[in-house]
Amino acid sequence: MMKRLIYILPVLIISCEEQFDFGLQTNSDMEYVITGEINQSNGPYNILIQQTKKGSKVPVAVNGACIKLIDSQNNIEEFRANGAGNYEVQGELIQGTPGMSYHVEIVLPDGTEIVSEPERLPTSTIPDFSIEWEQGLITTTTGLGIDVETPVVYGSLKIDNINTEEETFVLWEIEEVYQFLQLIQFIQFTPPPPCYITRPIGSTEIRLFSSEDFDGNSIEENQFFMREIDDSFLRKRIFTITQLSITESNFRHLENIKTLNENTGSIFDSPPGRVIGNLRSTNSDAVVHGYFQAVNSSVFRFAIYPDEIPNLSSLVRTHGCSDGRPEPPCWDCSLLANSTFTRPSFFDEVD
Amino acid sequence: MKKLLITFVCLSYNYLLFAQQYSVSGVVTDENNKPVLGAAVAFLGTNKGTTTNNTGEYTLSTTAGTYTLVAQFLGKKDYSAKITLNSNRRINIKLETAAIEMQEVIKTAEREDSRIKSIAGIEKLTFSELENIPLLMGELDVVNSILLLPGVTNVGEGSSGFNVRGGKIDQNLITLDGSEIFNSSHLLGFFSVFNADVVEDFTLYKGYIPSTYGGRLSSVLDVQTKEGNMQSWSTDLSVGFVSSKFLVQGPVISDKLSVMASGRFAYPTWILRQTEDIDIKTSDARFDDQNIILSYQLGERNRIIGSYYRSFDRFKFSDDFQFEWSNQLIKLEWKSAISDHLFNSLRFNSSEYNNDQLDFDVNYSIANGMDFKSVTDHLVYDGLTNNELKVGFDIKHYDQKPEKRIPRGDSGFTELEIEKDEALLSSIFIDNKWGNNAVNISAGIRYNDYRQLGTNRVLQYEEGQTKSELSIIDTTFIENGPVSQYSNLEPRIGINYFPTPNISIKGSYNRVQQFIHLISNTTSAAPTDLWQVSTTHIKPQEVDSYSFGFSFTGTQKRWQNSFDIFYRDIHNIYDYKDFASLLLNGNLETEIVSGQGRAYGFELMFEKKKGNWQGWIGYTWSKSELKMDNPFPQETINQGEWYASNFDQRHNLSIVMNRDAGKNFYFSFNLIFNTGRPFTGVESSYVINNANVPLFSERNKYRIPHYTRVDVGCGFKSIFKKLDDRLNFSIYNLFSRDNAFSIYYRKPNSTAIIPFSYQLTVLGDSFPAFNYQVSFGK
Repeated sequence: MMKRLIYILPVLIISCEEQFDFGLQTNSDMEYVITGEINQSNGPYNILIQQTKKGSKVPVAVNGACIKLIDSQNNIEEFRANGAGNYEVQGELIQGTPGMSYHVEIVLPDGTEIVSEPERLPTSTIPDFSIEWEQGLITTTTGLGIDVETPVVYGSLKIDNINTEEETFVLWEIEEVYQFLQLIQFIQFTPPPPCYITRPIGSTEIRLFSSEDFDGNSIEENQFFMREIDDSFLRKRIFTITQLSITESNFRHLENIKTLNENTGSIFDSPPGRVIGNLRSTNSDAVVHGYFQAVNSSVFRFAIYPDEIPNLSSLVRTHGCSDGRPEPPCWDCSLLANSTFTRPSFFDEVD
Repeated sequence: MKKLLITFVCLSYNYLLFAQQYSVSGVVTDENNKPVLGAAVAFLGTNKGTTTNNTGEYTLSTTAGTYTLVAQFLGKKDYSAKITLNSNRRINIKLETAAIEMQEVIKTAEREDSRIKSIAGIEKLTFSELENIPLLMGELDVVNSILLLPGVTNVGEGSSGFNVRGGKIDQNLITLDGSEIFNSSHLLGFFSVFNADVVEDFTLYKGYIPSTYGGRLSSVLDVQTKEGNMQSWSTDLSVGFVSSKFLVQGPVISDKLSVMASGRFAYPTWILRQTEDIDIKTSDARFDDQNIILSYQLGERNRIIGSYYRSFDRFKFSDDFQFEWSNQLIKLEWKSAISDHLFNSLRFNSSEYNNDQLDFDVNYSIANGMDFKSVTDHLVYDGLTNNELKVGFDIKHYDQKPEKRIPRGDSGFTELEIEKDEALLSSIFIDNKWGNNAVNISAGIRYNDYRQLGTNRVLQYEEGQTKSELSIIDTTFIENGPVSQYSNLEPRIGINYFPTPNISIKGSYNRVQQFIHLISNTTSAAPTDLWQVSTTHIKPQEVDSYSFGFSFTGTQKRWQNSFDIFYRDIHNIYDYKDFASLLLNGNLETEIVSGQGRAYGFELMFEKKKGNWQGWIGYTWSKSELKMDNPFPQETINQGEWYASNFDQRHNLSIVMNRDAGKNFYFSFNLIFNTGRPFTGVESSYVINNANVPLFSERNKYRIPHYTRVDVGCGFKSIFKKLDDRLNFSIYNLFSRDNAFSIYYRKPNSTAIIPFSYQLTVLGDSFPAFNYQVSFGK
């Protein structure tokens, strides 16, 4: 609600907003950012360790850390480095089991010791969900007051028979994978293999649900997610919706992040704050951000084929490669974020 | 403390020195028999003079003899009469309205040394002094006017309330005829609730606060309305770009009963309709307010005044959300002159504030508010030469309305009601003003007894743990008596010493406790903020305020200049925890942290009172800081170090000038400069669960850009020959400067993770306005 208030102010008078460089004096170097997860799968489980750096707005990877995964029965399994701040544990000794608690103990190269609060992997999940999609148009108004219609694909979420007697906290994540065909360069004699691009859908939105204060027994959300139709729809595309049953502590943590992401600078905004997760240093004053989470996840995938979208060729918006002056990634898809020539295992299985 | 008490008692009984003199007393009225407040009355050629009190009464004492009694007031003809004094006498004085040409002379005579004679930090203003300053949206406004004074700021255009000497906005006691106002803004702060047509005068106490006032740490803004005309009917109309208003007043029974009715209506919605954006086109912004004032003269010595005020605001954005808030004030006052020297004012006030926020997305609204009632009695004795003694009591009842969640349609949410608290604040006070040619002293003591009533449960939190839902270990139910109770004694003193008639050296000290708090986690006051009375866990705020300064003027008294230093030491000041959740929360103590505050600085004021060019230059250098150093990390902010408050602005400069360019034309301009206020900036970011997480700096580490604005205005009087009318033009923010309201982080698009900050400008262009005023029957 509040985030749209900003738009009323120009009406009352004349307002504007512009990017602002306030002369970053960051002293936030030495602040660690740790994110990781254990779930009920057989593994592997991952952790990413980064550190904010003076003068840079993006944290950098921290390598050389020793990490132990410990469960509530005091079993211990060590993570192994997997490149660029990534660490992986195979799950040979410890596997995520609903009802069990897990935490990590980390020793960083500079001697900083960090532990996470134990997270109990949730036993309760809300019932399986279903997703249906349809084609539609969204209308947006430009700054000049001109309405523009854009073809999109909507995904609708439906969940029935929710038991609200048990407190449940849920997070949904949505990703898409699609094939990308590089343009053939003059010196190439064979076409390159397709590469696969994985992208989060609506990564700026955090989709949360809590059974607190909810007295219905079903959820039905018609525009649960939305994707603009472009020429990448000319090939098969797979949407992956992951439903994560999370702890209350994790839910509160994500709620705070959501609050920050919805600020618009208006007088009604909650002032920004520092989101602190479930990690802390035991031997220094180092501030640690991030969260090591235990989640109970379920995954739903569906595919959209080009022939399922009527008049697709007339609807598509190009992303640059079909135009007269294609961008460099059109020749080399490795320049695109999250691209790989390795076909995802599920890509052929999902219809 | 003992020294203060001794000083106070000595001053109160100084009459022993003057007991053998004769006195002249009476009431000063205008041609409509309306009491004239603040009129100067004196024996010509002597140093015996005084001003009339709230009922228009005056008293002068001197030895037997023949004297010339004179009276003066802004806009009135001088009164002069020879009298022989050989016994106590009562002489009522009637002042007639002066011709236009006379007004300037009298205005100058009356006000030319007001800054020299006033106690430190008291600003008394009338709209007649301000009518030529440039207007915002065509309206002359109380709050926008005081923002031009040194030491008074706000956080930018479109924000409610104001900050005085580094204080929070809830630390200002704002009253209309004695009724406390809990939201003084219309249209998100562009207007205030005070209709200029109805306001007689207003006084801002930002330094010395007399002991007759209490309950807020920083300042008192006391707004007094006019009483109706008892002789003839008159009408005022005003039409503007955004709002219009009317005022009708006259005698129902000549010289006995007058009525005044006014209404104001704002209609910015028609501007919204002009836009292309469908969301904005379907939005709605409006307010209206009305005043009715009845005044009944009961014999020569009694007057009964009843007033009613109501206001309503609506602010709806498309089908997204809607805010509505309203105020309703009632006053019933009986003023009586018990004898020539003893006056009493017994007053009942009621104030009701309602606030409703509707979120169309989740389809429920949240309602809350406050009921306030008070009984006040002031007894004034001025039978002692150059002395005025005031004693009285206040009994105030604050009743927070239950906070309700009201579902609409099939929102899926249940109805919810959070019981809130109520409190009774009883105060007695004694205040004495004494002065002669060398010194003026105002001193008083106020005693407060505060009792929290209502919900009789007190939550017990686990020792050694921060207050949160998880650390509640027990609930204690109070069977009888108050849930919590606080009492305190507040000494106040203000001294003015005149080494020469044109120089004064001033000092003041106040101790004040505040028992009601505006709990907010927004930068500026917003309809989402909540008033909360003190409880077991939310203790009263307390301040010790010190002020020292001097004023001087030349022999011609063309300029009045002043310099003031102030320091405030505040205990139990509150700030929000990160991500505080205030709405529908029955345990607000879990969302806030308490600590210390301090504000200090100095103010300079150069005021030109005579000549074609008049106005002032005001400058303030100040710091306002907080320190939240508690045992628990969740209740500690910035590692427990001092940090700048949201409204800490190092430099404030205001230049206000207007020029009378002839009989019927004026020109004016303002220049405002403020140092940018602090904000918390995003320094880095990371990704978790596919979501970008901004990493913010310590609280209020950075500052938004400086604020600079120039306004100009001009006006024409007597547009139509036979009418008493006036046409005003003004341009607010003449140079269209993009002053920042805030700097905020905006979530990046789906692929970028590098965070950027954006500047929001609320009023990034010049805003022209016009206003036509006409009066009939005056």
